[in-house]
Amino acid sequence: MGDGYYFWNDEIDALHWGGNSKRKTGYFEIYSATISCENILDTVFNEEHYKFWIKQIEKAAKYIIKKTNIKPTISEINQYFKEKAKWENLTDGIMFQDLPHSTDLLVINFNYRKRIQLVAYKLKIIHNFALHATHEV
Amino acid sequence: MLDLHKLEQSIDEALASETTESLTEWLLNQRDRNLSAFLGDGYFEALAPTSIIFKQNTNSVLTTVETCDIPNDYQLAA
Repeated sequence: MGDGYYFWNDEIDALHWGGNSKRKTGYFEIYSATISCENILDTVFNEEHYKFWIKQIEKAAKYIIKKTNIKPTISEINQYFKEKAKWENLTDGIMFQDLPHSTDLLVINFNYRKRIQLVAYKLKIIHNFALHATHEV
Repeated sequence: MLDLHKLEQSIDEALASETTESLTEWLLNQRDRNLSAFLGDGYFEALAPTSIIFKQNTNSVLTTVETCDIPNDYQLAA
């Protein structure tokens, strides 16, 4: 999703992420924070923002493919918004839904729980940042 | 309150100012940056090529043979 400070909405997603991505170090830490979301593009719960988000992604991706013949990746399209379109000056970050699959889901082939992430562009919206837990892998 | 109109306007202006060259260069720089971030700081070391020679001292080869009786006269299927 490009440069920024990333947070999960649910602790279970942080646990899965750490368990899968931190095998080399053998442990990981989870930090908690309160995020001010007044100036966040909320593509998860705000329908207007969600439709706007899709429209901008598809418009920019089509343009990039047409001009370069290269399909942008998820981090590239978001970095383009932040850096080239200067969204970091207009919004404090983006709340979005990560890949939907998770091993904790209790119904087969039904990703009923959103794996919500938030990327904060600015430190000023992050409050009460503190160590929450340490886990061994 | 987030101004979606301003967000859209900024994307439209950014895209309108792009050329094939500028966009391609930006994308390739992104990929180069991502690769560097993945690999971390460091440098590539040229290693001397190594080779291994296998030498066979004998021609004898161990083999196993399995046999089974096969009838010579096959019956036509009805």
